[in-house]
Amino acid sequence: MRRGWLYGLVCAVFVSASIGYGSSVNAVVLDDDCECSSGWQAGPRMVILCPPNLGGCPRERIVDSIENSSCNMSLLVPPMIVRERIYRDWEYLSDLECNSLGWPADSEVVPIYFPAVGVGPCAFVDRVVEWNRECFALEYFCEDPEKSTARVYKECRPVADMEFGVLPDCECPYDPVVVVPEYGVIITFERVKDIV
Amino acid sequence: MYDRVIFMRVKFLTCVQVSRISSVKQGTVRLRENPKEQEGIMSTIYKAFLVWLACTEIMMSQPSSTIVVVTTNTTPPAFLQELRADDPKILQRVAEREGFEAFQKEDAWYLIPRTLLSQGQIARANRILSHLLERFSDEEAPTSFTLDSLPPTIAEEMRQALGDLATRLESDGRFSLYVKLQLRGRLKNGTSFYVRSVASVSESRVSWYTDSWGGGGLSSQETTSKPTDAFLRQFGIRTEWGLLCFHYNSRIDGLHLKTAMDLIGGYETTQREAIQQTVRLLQERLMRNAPVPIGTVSVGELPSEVQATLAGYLREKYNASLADLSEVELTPQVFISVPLKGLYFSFPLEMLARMKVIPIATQRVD
Repeated sequence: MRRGWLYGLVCAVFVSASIGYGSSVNAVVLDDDCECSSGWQAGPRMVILCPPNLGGCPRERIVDSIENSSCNMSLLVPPMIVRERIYRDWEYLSDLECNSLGWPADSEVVPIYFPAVGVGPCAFVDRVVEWNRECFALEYFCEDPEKSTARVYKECRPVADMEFGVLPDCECPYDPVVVVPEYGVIITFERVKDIV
Repeated sequence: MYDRVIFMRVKFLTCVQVSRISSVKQGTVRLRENPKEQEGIMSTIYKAFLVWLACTEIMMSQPSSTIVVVTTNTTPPAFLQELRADDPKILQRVAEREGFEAFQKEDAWYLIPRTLLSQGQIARANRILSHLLERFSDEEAPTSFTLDSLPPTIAEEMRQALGDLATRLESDGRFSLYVKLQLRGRLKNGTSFYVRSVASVSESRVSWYTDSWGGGGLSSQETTSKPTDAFLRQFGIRTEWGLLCFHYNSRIDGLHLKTAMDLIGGYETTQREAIQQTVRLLQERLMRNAPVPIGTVSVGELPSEVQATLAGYLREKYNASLADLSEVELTPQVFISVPLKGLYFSFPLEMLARMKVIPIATQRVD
């Protein structure tokens, strides 16, 4: 309910802005509604709540899974870069629809970096790519003649996630430990048998 | 292990003071740091007892009852003189005033600082989780949050719980809670198997993993191995013992020391139980609207693509088929995702209570 209200508010702001600009386009008559003699200017991204019709993001992807059930060895896994896509979906917020402006691409490949990790006995690390969803409105405006066009975007941006924890049913003399050297941390987990 | 649990929790404990009301003299027992100590609680007590015996030169008369005061500094607290073990009201009033929790156990009273009980990782995690449960009791509340959206005290508790990781937090990054489903199965021939991640549930949305289940092996990554000893020597766990002192003004025995530690341990056990309960409630909240079966399930309850993945896993790993299954169980586990700069760290939520983050000076593992 709240989400719909906010989305409606954002739409209303943009639509009213468009109408305002559009109504003042009297002096110059251009063949193409998307022509702008003063040049289109991009406004800032405005983060908004995601409209439901733009859908979700891809589900997470497990890149690799490192389990160390050996009490005698620790695993050191080197850093890794995977290439994943940013996915964008969008719709117009304004009546004026100008496709040839510098809108963000629908898809874009970006590198995702996973740091090296040491996995001690009874620990596991999953290296996972997940997609963070963010929605934003983007507006282009023209001063001469005064008009604007706006879109709302849903962006699914891939991020690296390292999931770690303790292997069940694994008994070693030491507490499980995960080391992430680049982040300068050793993470140990106390073994407590009465906690599942 | 139990002794380590206790001593790691009380590593900032510097003194345990034992006072007999009827005497004004005091003695001191101090346990020196022993990083290699990994033995049982009885061994700990035995050693404490020996050290106590070694230090016991001032023996007092036998008063009627004992008061054990745990403090975090070596100076005996002035309020000792006010205490009367045979007057519980006075004792509890003084304890309350001075920020101590009073416990009565057999022939003695034990006063333990609330800070000692409440500043441990377990108590801290318990407070954080309780807050999250309260926050998510609102049906519409999203299961992700920023640090700034937490009450300042809880945000500070979270920073402390994360230790050195807190310095790596992404400003405005979102923490989130989600559930991972593990699968345990048993074949009719008695072979049991376990797949750590078969699905995740986030914001009531279920994602089944239908890529090949590798059974936890490494994928194509190049991996090197090192002997555990060397690894641990460089980075691993170092048992940390606090410096324990026992001030007393009368004869005490090792049982008093053990009882004092047991009280702290017992308090932690209560907190752990509370944490388990909170995590269970959070799990129910996170899965409330998720269309996923948990517990013992029939294969037919799994989505068809998951059945296919399970069949492939059984064929590859055990040369078996779905028909060979006698039992399948799905177990949920709540994870928390922590937004660091450039990366998320995720771990089972209950680990917040028993995770320790140690900074390392070196930047590479050689």
